[in-house]
Amino acid sequence: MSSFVELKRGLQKQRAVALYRRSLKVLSDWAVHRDLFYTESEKLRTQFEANSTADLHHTERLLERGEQQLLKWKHPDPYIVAYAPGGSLFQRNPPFPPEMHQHLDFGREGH
Amino acid sequence: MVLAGLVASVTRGVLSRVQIPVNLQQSGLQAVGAAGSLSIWRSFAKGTYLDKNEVTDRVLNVVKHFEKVDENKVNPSVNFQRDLGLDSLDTVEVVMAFEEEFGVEIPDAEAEKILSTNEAIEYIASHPQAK
Repeated sequence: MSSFVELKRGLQKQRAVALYRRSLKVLSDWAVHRDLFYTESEKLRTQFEANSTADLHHTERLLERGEQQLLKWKHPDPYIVAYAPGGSLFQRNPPFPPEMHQHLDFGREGH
Repeated sequence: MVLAGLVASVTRGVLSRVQIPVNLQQSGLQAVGAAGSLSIWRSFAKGTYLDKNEVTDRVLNVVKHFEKVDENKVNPSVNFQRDLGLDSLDTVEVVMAFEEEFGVEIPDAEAEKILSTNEAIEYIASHPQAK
């Protein structure tokens, strides 16, 4: 029974960490100005810390509520690194297939 | 008139001695290698790997400037939670700081596994688009 509790606790911890990471990213989408980002991330951190000692059921409900909040706060135009999927540089200049050769013979075509 | 003739003779003299190598290629076909380095499974942007020492320096710099970290304990193979006494949320913040420092996007699955400076350095040094 206690191993089930530990397992569940471990899973909840993983979910909480993932939720924190994603919520930090969402926060950085909205709060672009750095000082604003720092103040808001402090608040977020205190919220996460305050609930760290809750029991199993309570954390379950908190996590669900947190994930709903994350969906609610999703940014319409999030910051994505340029070469990552969804960014502007993603697959922009694909390399040539190795069978292709580049002929650099300007002016000597037809020879 | 005489001067023009003199200049012409000097030019001819110079030109007869100057040798410019001429490359006569009969085939006319030059094969050039494929563009950039091939990191197809990641993305098609041109990939250049960072030097490992530079990565180490920058990673340790980031960790040292983190407010909850004691600077003297930081070395290239330190675990965040065990040795530096950081929380799991602090680890998340440190990984975010690495992402911002190097301009990489670390997917969530990989970010969970980065729990020490060692792993962070290895990940970033093997990321082709790290700046």
